[in-house]
Amino acid sequence: MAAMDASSVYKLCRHLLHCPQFIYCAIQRCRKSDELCRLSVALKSSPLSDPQIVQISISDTGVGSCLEEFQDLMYAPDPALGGKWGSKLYFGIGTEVSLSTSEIVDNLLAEFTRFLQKKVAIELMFDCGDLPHSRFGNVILANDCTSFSPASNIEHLKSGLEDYIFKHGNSLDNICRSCFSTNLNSSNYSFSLPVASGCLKVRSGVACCTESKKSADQVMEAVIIVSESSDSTICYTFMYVYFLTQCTVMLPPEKQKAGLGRSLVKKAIKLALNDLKEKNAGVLLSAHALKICSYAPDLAKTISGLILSSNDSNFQGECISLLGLQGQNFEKETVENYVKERIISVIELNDRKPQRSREAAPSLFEDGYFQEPDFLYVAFEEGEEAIDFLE
Amino acid sequence: MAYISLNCEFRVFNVLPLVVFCALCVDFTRTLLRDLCNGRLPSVYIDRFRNHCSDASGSWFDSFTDLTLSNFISTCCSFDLAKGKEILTLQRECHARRLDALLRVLLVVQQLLQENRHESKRDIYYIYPAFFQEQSVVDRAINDICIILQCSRHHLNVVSVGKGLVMGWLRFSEAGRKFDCINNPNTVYPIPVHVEEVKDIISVADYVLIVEKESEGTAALSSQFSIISVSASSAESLDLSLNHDGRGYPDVSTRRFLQLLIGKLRLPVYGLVDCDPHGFDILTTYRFGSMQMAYDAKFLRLPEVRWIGAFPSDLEKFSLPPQCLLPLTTEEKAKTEAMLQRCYLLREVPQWRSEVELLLQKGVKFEIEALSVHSISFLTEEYIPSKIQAGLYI
Repeated sequence: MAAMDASSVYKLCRHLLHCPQFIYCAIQRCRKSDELCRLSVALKSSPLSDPQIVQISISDTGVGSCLEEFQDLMYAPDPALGGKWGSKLYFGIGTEVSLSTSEIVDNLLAEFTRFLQKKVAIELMFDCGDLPHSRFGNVILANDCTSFSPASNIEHLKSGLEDYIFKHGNSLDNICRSCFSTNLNSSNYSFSLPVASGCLKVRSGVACCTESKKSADQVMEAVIIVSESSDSTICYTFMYVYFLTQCTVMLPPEKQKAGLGRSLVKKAIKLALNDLKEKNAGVLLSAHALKICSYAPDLAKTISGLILSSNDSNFQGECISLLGLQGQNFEKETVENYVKERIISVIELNDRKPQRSREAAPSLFEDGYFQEPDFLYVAFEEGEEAIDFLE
Repeated sequence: MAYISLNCEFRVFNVLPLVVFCALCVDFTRTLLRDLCNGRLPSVYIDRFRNHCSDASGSWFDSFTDLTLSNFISTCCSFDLAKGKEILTLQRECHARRLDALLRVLLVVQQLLQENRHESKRDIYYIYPAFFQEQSVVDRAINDICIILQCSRHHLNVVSVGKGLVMGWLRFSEAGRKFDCINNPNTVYPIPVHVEEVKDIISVADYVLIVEKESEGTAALSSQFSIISVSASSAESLDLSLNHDGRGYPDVSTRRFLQLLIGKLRLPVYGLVDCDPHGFDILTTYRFGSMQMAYDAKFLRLPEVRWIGAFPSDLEKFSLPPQCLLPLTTEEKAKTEAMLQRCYLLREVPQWRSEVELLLQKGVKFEIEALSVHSISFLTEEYIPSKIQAGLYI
């Protein structure tokens, strides 16, 4: 189970009053128990009642209930909350707290779903009473929670990122300008979109360093999360680097000075970046590579033109085969797109190489080739331009 | 690596059929595509040629004391040897742009060759004006293709617009069309664009005179004396031209035509240009070729050209009045100084260099027409005949 941080609870409380706090307490009780515990949240609506009442039940099989945590409930219903809330407490094998509210059920369900998906491995059930066609059954099945195993650090990071944005005062519909200060079109973008639709690109890199046989390995894991805007111009809105684990023995001061730890961090970040580029074509290309990529459509158009307008059918066949196309008749656009993909691919490949291993593009003029002021490439010396100007 | 090798013997004889150049275009594209499909960044190697270096000291001769091949290549400004290579890759934006233009022109060239059509550089520019943006982009791409395919421009079916003019004691035919200059000595004929089609050259001229611009004076000269007069453009067209950048510089057809004439007729060739840095530069373009087309200088230069005038030393010799003289501008002085650095001057025409030094020293320039200030017929009746007779050409 994941521990909740206080700020998340606080935020959620704005909407759900005490529910997260109860869940938090329930988790604490489960932690205290040595046994496998179960925490359930059940929402039960009574659609026929007016106003519509939703009953929220939070129960757990942990140990160590304490009345103080329910102290606030003694003052409910709170007039400031419009008298929407009521509450009951049960203590049996475990602890169960039941609250009722006249909040809109859809809102409640959405909030609970998000909260529980993020924070805890738990069952969430929703009962629509006696209505024949229930809209919801189990919203989160216990089996779905396997992804919340301790190994899925990246998922937690994504979630943490979402919380971070929440902390900046975002709501689901508004973007925090400080987080998304780049050229985003706010009208069709919401912060939750990249998270929900998987547009967040998350990759990690692990760097190890063994000092000696006697000392322990130093492991540094860097995780990089990149959110890419939906704008056609690739725009990286933010990038966070987390150092998840640093299972390291303390470095002696002289080695710290030597920057050993820092080099490990660099290495991990580099690996994470490489991993990110590897797994996500076109992501994190340098501005320079992007400029060169902008020539790809034109180059592809011309190269496909050279292939398709050739009267050498053997050559055409060879090119088609090189491109991995099959068959006889090809649309110009198909060939063009294939060539374009190849061009972009090699540019990307080259961009990923370390600077020094990229092929040099030397200028091989050793001496004063360009010394004469007239040697600009305007070719007027050839004289033809004179007549061209006259035309 | 897109690099095409071609047997130079074919090139010398100038007999390569179109199909060979089609095949070379195809080879180039194939190599490029192979690189792309194998995940390699395509690299296009372009030999760089030049017709001079800026070593004006003449140390070139000293290098012969150590005649190792590498030393020879590194110090000798041979017209026919590549001086380094440029490698175009998709690593630099300027290279991507240049490669883009090169391929676009190659596409046009491939079509020209396949359909056996001819186009001028200007025509090619106007096929994709927005893409090329300026003529020089096309020019450079054509030169790059010539170097890569190791051929001359006309092999690509790219021809000059044609602005060279010829008149005088000459008769020839081009693709069945007869040019009878002898019967119409006052008529200026355009130099054919397809020089390789020129045949049946007949002449009774004593020499060929290259003039910077065709004018009434040179027309009179052609009609009175047995000469062939060749110029890159007429004075009239130059007057109409708003941009004087290209004035008098010979195009490829004019130079190839001259080379053909001289090769067939074995006549002496004299150059008459304005006494200014432009005139001198034009003269060197005839004799040594231009830097831009240095890769093809072997087929374009005319080592036989002698400078007959107008010399800076003519200024005092013929007592030109001050109103005919104009001071050299700062740009012209800079151009002259730069030209003085050209290695071939000291090596091959030291007297030319001395005259250019004098030009810089005097700081004034004048046009050929200034020589006619005392008498309208001075140029045709005295200046040129006397110089040829006395051997006062350099």
